[in-house]
Amino acid sequence: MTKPLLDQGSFRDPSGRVYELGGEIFRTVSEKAAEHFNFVRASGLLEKLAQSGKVIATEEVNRSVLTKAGVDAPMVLRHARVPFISYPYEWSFPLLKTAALQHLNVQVEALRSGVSLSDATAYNMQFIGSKPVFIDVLSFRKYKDGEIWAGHRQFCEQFLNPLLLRAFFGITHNSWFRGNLEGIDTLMIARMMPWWRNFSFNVLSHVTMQARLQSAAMADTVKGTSKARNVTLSKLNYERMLLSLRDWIKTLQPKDTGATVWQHYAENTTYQSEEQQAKRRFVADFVKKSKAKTVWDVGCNTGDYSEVALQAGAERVIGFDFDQGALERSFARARAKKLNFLPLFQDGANPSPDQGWANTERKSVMTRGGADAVLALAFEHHLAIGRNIPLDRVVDSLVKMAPKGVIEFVRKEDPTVQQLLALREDIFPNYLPKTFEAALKTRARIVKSEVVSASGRTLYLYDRTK
Amino acid sequence: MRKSTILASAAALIFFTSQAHAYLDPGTGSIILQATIAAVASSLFAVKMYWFKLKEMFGMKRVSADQTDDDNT
Repeated sequence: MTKPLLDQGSFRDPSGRVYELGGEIFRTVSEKAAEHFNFVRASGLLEKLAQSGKVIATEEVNRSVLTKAGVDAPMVLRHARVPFISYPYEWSFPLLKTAALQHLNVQVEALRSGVSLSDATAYNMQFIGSKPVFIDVLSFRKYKDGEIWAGHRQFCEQFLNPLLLRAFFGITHNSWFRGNLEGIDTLMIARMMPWWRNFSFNVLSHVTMQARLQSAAMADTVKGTSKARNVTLSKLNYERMLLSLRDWIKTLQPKDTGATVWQHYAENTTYQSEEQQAKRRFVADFVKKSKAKTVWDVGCNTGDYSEVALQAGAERVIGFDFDQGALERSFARARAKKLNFLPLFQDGANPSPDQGWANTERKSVMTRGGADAVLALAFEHHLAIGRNIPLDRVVDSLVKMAPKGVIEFVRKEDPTVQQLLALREDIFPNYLPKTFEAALKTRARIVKSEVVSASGRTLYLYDRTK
Repeated sequence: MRKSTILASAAALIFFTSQAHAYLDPGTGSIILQATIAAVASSLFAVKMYWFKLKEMFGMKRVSADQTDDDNT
């Protein structure tokens, strides 16, 4: 019998643990947590939130599912599976914003049903396609009269501050967040804040004052903690604090792009060159024949080919790109057309690693895996030429992503490669179609190839299953 | 720092983390802040809500400061 696999990221809250068994996701519930869970379930909140897609679908199952496999628990829940787990440091601004707003929506609805949340970690938000969903049902607790918003600081560090970083300073949160998995420290963002920003009560309170009070409390912990222990918050004020934060976050936009992502998107997609058409045909034909359910679109840009893959029958596409503008447009496309498409931030030369506690808490992008097919269009040269990664290794990493896929090889004569080489010495004498083909052939069968542009750009369809 | 002070602060830390049934340390700054700003934030929000209602009454804008829709983007 297979053993349930413990999710290494689910240890912080002692209320329960997450396990995977036979492709299904289970959550154990401790005795103490079961009390709260039963209350929350009886309130009808869980069902309501699950129906509107705000919280992951959850049902209680016979505990023997896990106990007979050696995991003891007084109560066991089964969750609908999130197809691809992503982390806040892989989200572009609009994803983080959408997740933040959804988190607040969940909190407000919960509070109105007499339920509060024990935390506000961004890792409890996940995306199914472009829809944010809250996944940790054990964070819900029975609301206690006068209790404070326990997750406020965490909400600031993991949602608000990273959004402010981009909205106020034009700095993307991804690298910083990946370096500090708890998010962006309020003390840090307070230090960056120009004085005039404090004319906004939101900035003054959630950033500046919070940082000052935190510093003061750290300087005199006894006084600070005794002061903090007696704080109470009325339910009305609790809810209004959530609502006013939500109103504020709704207004935040990236400093460097503004709200016009949409219009650009419409403008740029009206015209299609012959090359694009040839690529679309090739991709559509491949996806249709491969019957791939999950497709990874590496270097997805604005999601053109992700959409083609979905139209050709893929159930979902996970896109990766390191261009924030492209990711924002991709997300706008996914939302507008209701596509099961999740565009994530990823630097091909430095993908998300295994990290966190014991280097297992957050998984590397390759460990999460799950792709049936990969598309790597106009991507390889950014690594092989742009980042000096040997062509052979680039091919190796792409072929490892999925058993089948389409890789585009961009020749040195192509204007984009010429651009990459414009100000540097050409140290790539072996960057040739035949080197590429040889690298691919040692790892997979080349099913077919097609030249799609005058500059010789070529699509290769590989299959390593037989 | 005297030994007794260190002990007292350690004890205080332990006690206050057990408050509000949280496994998470809410952060002293955040808690004291909530005591300080909640009332102000709340009244500001109330004023805003009335303002929106007033605007709506005069047909200036159809917005509500309090919506729990999915319109997130």
